[in-house]
Amino acid sequence: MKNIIYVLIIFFGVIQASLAQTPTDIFMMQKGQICIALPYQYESWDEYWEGTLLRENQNLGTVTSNSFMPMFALGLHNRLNVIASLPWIKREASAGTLHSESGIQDLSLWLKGLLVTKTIGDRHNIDVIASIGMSLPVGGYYADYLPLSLGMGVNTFNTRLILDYRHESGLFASVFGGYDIRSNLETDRSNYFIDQHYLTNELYMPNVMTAGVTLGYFNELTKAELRYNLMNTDGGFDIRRNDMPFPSNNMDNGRVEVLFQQRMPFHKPLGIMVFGGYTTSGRNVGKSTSFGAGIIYLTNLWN
Amino acid sequence: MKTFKTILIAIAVISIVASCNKDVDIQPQISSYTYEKVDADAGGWDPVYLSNVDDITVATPEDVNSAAYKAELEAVKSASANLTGDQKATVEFWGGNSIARWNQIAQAMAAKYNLPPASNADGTYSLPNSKDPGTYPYFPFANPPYASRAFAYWSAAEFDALIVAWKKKYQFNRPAPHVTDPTISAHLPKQSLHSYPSEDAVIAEISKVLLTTFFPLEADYIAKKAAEHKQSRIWAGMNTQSDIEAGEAIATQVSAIFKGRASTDQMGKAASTPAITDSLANNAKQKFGWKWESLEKPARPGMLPLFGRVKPWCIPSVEAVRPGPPPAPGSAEFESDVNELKNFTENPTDETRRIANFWADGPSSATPPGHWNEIAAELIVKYKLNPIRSARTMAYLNMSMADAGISCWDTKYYYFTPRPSQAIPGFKTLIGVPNFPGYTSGHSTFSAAGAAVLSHIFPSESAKMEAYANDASNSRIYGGIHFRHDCKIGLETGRVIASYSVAVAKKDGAEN
Repeated sequence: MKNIIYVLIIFFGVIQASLAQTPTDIFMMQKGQICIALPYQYESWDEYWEGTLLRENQNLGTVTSNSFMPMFALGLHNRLNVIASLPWIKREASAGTLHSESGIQDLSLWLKGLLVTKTIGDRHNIDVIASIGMSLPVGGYYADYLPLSLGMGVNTFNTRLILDYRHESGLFASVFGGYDIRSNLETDRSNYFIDQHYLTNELYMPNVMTAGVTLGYFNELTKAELRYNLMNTDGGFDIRRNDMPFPSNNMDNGRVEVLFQQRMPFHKPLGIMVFGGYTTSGRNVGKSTSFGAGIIYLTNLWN
Repeated sequence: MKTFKTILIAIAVISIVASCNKDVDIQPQISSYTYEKVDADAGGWDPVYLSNVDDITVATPEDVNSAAYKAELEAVKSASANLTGDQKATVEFWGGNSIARWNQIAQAMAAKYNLPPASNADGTYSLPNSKDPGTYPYFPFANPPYASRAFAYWSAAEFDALIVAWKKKYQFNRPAPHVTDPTISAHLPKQSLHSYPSEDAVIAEISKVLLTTFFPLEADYIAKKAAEHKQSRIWAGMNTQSDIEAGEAIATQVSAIFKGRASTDQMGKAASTPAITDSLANNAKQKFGWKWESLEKPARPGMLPLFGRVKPWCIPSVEAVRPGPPPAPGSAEFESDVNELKNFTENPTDETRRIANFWADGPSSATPPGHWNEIAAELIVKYKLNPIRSARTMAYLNMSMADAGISCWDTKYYYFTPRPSQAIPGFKTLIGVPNFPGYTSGHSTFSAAGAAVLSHIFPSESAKMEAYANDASNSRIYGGIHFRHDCKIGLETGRVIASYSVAVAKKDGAEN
């Protein structure tokens, strides 16, 4: 029993010291704690999948996105966090005539709850975490302007379930699955053809399934993660040969991502993060490479 | 564990609620109605292309008291009794306004085939080949001129064939099945219109032959729809088999005549080759000092450079309506138009952007002429037009827009002017730039022509139609793909073109 308590103290001690960022990671903020992050990300692609055909498009050249993604995670309770983010994005194509887009994208709000935490023996811990969230296209951007639109322009309701295993050494592994329900999109078109001709401005937006696996390590000051994430729309249709992408397309992708965070030994609330990602497979999406960096700040708002 | 369960249940409940009601209405509903009038004299109207209505023949029908006709009535009685839900839905689908229904199908074909072919690996482009439509690039590329021509042939043929049908109806005077045999229950509103030949069979069969001509890969789909349409009339208790066959006979003869026109109207020579584009470019460079260049990479030959030589419907010639030259670069008007464009693309409002997108009518849409067909299809239903007046509306609208396309393409390749993104260094657009010269704006020309014809036929809608045409025209400026002068002169020319179609309409006998 003593051992278990000891392990718990270590585990929670370390988790408390680490940084909670996302609805799908395994970290929880403690009650009264807030983590504020300001990441910047550069993402680009010069090839995309038109259906299953990987192609270039000289009339787009390279499509790049520069994003600032301010976010915070707040511990309402040791087992209940609220997470919010509101990105600003600029997206442009290096070739062709289309005007770049920039502005505020979707406000996302999440509740993340630690449902189960169980210690096994002296060194092992298993958690079950669930997140529910929503996103709203508060920026008023033009969604029907792919591939340069800032987002999909729809309201979403999101669910995630995360299982993780942690070893006292700081090594951990987690898996998650999720489902996003999306509202339809009202466009300004009078008609459009995807699988058939629609005499309406409304696009049926398929829901989205996500899943991922993460391997990582953390200690009081450092966190490193290697992730493989999958996204797959639950329906939708392919871009037709030489057509433009469409918000309601069948969009799938698989991405490998890395993340590294380091808190400053001289001032522990302050930390930096660097991260990158690469699209390994996809359908009707860009084959993108991304990297970014940001600062994070962790402090107690109340006890 | 209890909390976990509760949360999962909550998630499931919210998910189900949130996922409800995402069905998208594919097409507007068209309910069946009683025609505002039946136009019993329409057999005497002037056709738009047929030289002589009496050249089209139909068999004299069996007498209503004959055993053969009684057997037909029995067949209708049996087929129309106890309809299944699907059969009722089919009857209602075609029973509202079958011209509007086939028009929707034509719009769908235009949208489906409205995709520019991809470039080849060596940077060249292959042209769709009507002799081998199923090999990529598929035939056709239903760009705006192609679509305008397809809509015109389809609707003009419908109108002329229905004039023949009306003439025969009032020559043979065969009452509807439910009149001769009151025990046959009609599943659609009873119209005081004779039933031999069946106007629906005419409409279905003309659509089948002409839409298949323009969209050959859709032959099976179109044939299935035509068979369903004709069958729906028997299920509805509105026509007998010989009514249908007589309608088919008219349509077969009339569609052959229109197909003959289509095969010799010079469309076959309108497509682009690099050599044609280059020679037109050099002419313009010598004559005006400028030349349009493709903004696409690899450079794509201009779309249909010789479409201006296609045989028009109502205008006497393209030269008769060709506008004068645009303002020269450097002139005060030109520079003012440049500044206006920069302002709209750099500082768009929600409203300018909405208009630019609503009227963009680009790839995978039914094209600008298709958008006007959508508007017209709503009007013929709103005003409860009978089939022949519906077809007449579509015929004049589409002949006028086909003339607009022919004239505008002549003007485009005659003056060969650059698009704003070519003329202004670094200029960016909010919608895609079409691959053909700028002056004059096709959408402005199509829209002014379409609005003028619809205003003539539906005078109480004229303010709305004018506003639509102005929006459609302005949309090209808001989107950054046309200068003001392209649009202004396009609108003016479109109105002149429509005046020729309206002049024909005024004396075809339908407005007496």
